[in-house]
Amino acid sequence: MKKFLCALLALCLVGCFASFASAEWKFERKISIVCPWGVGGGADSTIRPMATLLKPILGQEVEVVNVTGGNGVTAVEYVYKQPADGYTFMLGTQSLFMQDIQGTTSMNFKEEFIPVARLVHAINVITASKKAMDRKGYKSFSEMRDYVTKNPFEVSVGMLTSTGLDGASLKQALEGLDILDVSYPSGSEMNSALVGGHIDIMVTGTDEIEGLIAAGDVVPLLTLAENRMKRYPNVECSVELGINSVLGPARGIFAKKGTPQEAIDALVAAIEQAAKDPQWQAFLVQGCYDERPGFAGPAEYAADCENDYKLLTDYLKAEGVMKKDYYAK
Amino acid sequence: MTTWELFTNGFSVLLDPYTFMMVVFAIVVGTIFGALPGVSATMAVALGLPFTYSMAPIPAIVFLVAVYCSSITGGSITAILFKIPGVPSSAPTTFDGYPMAQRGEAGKALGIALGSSAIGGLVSALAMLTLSPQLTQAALSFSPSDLFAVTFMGLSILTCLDSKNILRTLISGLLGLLLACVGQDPMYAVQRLTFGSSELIAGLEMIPVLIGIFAVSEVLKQTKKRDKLTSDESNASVNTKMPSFKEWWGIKWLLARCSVIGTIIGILPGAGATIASFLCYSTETKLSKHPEKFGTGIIDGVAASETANNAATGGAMVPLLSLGIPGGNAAAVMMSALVLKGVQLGPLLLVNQPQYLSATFASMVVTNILMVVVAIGIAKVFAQILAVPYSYLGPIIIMLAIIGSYATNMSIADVKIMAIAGVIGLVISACHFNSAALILGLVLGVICEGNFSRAYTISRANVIAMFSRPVAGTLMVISIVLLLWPIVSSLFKKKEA
Amino acid sequence: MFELICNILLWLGLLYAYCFNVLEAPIPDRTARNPYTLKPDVWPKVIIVLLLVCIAINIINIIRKNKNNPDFKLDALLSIRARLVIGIALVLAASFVLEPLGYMVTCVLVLFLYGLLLGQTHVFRLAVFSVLVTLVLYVVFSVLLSVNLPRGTIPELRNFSLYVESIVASVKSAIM
Repeated sequence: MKKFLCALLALCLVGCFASFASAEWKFERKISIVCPWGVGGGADSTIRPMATLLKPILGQEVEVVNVTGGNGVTAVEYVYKQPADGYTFMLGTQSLFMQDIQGTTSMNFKEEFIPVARLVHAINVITASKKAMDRKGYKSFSEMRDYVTKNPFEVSVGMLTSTGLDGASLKQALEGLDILDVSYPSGSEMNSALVGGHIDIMVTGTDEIEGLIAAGDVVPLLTLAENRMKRYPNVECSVELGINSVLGPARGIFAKKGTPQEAIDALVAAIEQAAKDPQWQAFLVQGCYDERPGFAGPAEYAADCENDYKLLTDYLKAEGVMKKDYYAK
Repeated sequence: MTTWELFTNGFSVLLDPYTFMMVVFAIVVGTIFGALPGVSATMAVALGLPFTYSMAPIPAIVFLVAVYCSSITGGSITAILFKIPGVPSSAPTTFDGYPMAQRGEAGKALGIALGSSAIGGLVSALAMLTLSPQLTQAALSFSPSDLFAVTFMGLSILTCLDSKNILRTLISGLLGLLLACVGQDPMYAVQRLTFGSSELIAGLEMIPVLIGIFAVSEVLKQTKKRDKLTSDESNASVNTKMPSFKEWWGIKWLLARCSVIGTIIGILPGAGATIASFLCYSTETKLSKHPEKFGTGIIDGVAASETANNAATGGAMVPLLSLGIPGGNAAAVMMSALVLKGVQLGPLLLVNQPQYLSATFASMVVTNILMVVVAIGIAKVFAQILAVPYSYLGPIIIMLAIIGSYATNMSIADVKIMAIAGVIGLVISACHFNSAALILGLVLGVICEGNFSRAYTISRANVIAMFSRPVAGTLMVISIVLLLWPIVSSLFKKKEA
Repeated sequence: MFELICNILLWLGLLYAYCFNVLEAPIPDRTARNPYTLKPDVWPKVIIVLLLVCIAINIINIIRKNKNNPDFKLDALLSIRARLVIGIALVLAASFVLEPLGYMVTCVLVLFLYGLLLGQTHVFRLAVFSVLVTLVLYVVFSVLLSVNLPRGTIPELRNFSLYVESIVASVKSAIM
């Protein structure tokens, strides 16, 4: 009997090894990563260096395909139409969740796509125009808040579409204040308007405005994070002021449901390896992505996405534009 | 650094034989990319990115600038020869360039296009070198209401594009503006006019509509004409006669105006080469002594659009170098290339490292001069295609239109939009509507609405306050006069008659 | 006549759009509450109203101009040439079969059929030409410009495209 059990165990082990060996996935042709935003933008400049680093690890061409339009919806539809064979992945942020919840995607993104790995997690920051600050006379976030309370609908706030992530993060930070929200189609137009003093403050990721902050044209008022940023130790962060707003764009890779698990595992392993590369580390510092942990594996990233989905559902529900409620009882 | 030091410093970068060879290479590929439909200037620069990975930051920007400038020029080649604008900013070039080519004056049209591109490019490069700080300040002072006024002035041309058909031209322009509303709205991402189609959520891309209305409907028209079997007959021979000095002298003020307007539009946030060429085309129609000849194939039309779109290239570089804010999509790609190399962009770049400005300037000067020679060679090759019998050429144009509209965004929806736009192009001409006006509305619509809406919010719903700014106010008064004048004068004429 | 019908259809279509399709999703609450925002339906509505007025005037003009025109009848519509109809059908069909058939097959078909339509009589020469141009365009756009041309969704055609891509990839790696 014992012998039999031992044999069975051995057989199981062999079986396990055999299945483990066959689980090794080898990419046989070029891999496409679809980026829903244009060349030169923040998302695109994140995925391109990663794709370059992945190429030698995977031994195949890794190509970034920009499919833009409809705040990311066009790209989601494009990837959804591709076969889930492990050769097409997509870059995503919380913006896609918001489009999903608002019902603009033809399928349920949350159910049809799986989070694979997070690449970077940026911090949103509220910055003010130096010109406008001098005109209106506030010098810090608290003073600005007092100014808005006294003068409702006098301070204009720039963001990229108010039903996007910026809008949500702003709503949390300025809860209850009457501001004028002004949407811009691109970061560059918004930055010019801020430097020119046509809008008073804006919400944005930290990566694009470092140069303007260094020159003093743009002043950071508040970082929306748990801790102060290493770069701007004198700038208050939201949590220390008791403001519950830590949303920041997290960019990660998603795969269509049904993609072979082996392919996903192989990609995750490759990304983990690339994330340790000194070149990637240097990129993180340059893009201000080093303030929060960047890489996260499938389990951790999925938990993060779930959190954000809940949060954004609440936000969009309050705004009256929610169409899909994944948390309806 | 004085201007003269900047000047010499810039050219010393190009004295390096390797860099110089790369610039020549950039001009050749840039012109070809630009000439191919569906490869916009932005895509051309993005395709040039891999070449820069091994370069130092300054040669890299020199290379990318050369690709950018020459691709904008290359777009005119296919616009004139096949009525397919190779890049969107060459769309107005088709209005007069294609009729010229049909008359057998392709050589003259190409000569004008390339020459005026070079002039526009050189003027704006010079403006960039000498006036960057002032131009930057001027651009920053443009508020949303000023930007709205600029685009509105572009629209005010609607009533004079075709003086015999004011009403129909107006309808076409308004239809263009309405088409620009399709999809998610620019402010709150609320869906409009999609009729439930998920393919329309992203709105109507300009390139597929352009290619459909211009190129495809032209092939369809030719299909209709060909009643008899004329399979082996060759198209009108391509005359390579170049424009004379007298013709150049005749448009000297036009070239000057369009260079200046193009540069300014290029600097403005959100505008770019496409808007610049449309605005200059319409301004010149307005200023011309013979506005009725525009659209029938005169050199003024070709020169206006091509001078302006190349002048905008210099303009687009100004905010990138002096603020670290890209003036357009192509500039955004260049910015990402510089950022990858660890260059800290921002207002301090010009102060600490003025060699970026001088190298960009030198690259633009060299590119704009060499480009003329290179582009004439490439244009001659493309012109050979015209000699192919139409039964071969027509299908190729259709296929180029399909690939061109697909390639922009990997979108099948765009191909369908292109095909439908081709049919609509036929209906438009059957109804005596004006396709140029429609495209004008489509191009300016999004910027127009966005800026109006922003200005409205910032001025707290006070329309009078919106236009009491000096720039916005002046431009609005001019536009309204321009808009109403042809209508009023035609009413008077009717009374007299 | 054609013009009149088009204008009337356009007018009715715009009226329909005005009533039902200007806003297809709710306006966010914060925006709706802010008294200083331009609601997203204002701009398109203004344009549609202007269009309705202009087109109405245009319709009246057309009718007035053609009052005494004996040729202004419905049968003028029938003079549209069959050749043009086939041309339109081909272009539309090409845009719809591009996704299932993929680039290769669509391109050969379009070049061949449209060539026939334009009066090309040398069928064999046309067929060779179609295949050659398809290859040239493939090399220019897919190989040199790395545009991902549609592979097609029909399994056999998709596998064929992947096979061609694998050849291209091995040639590329052999050169580099």
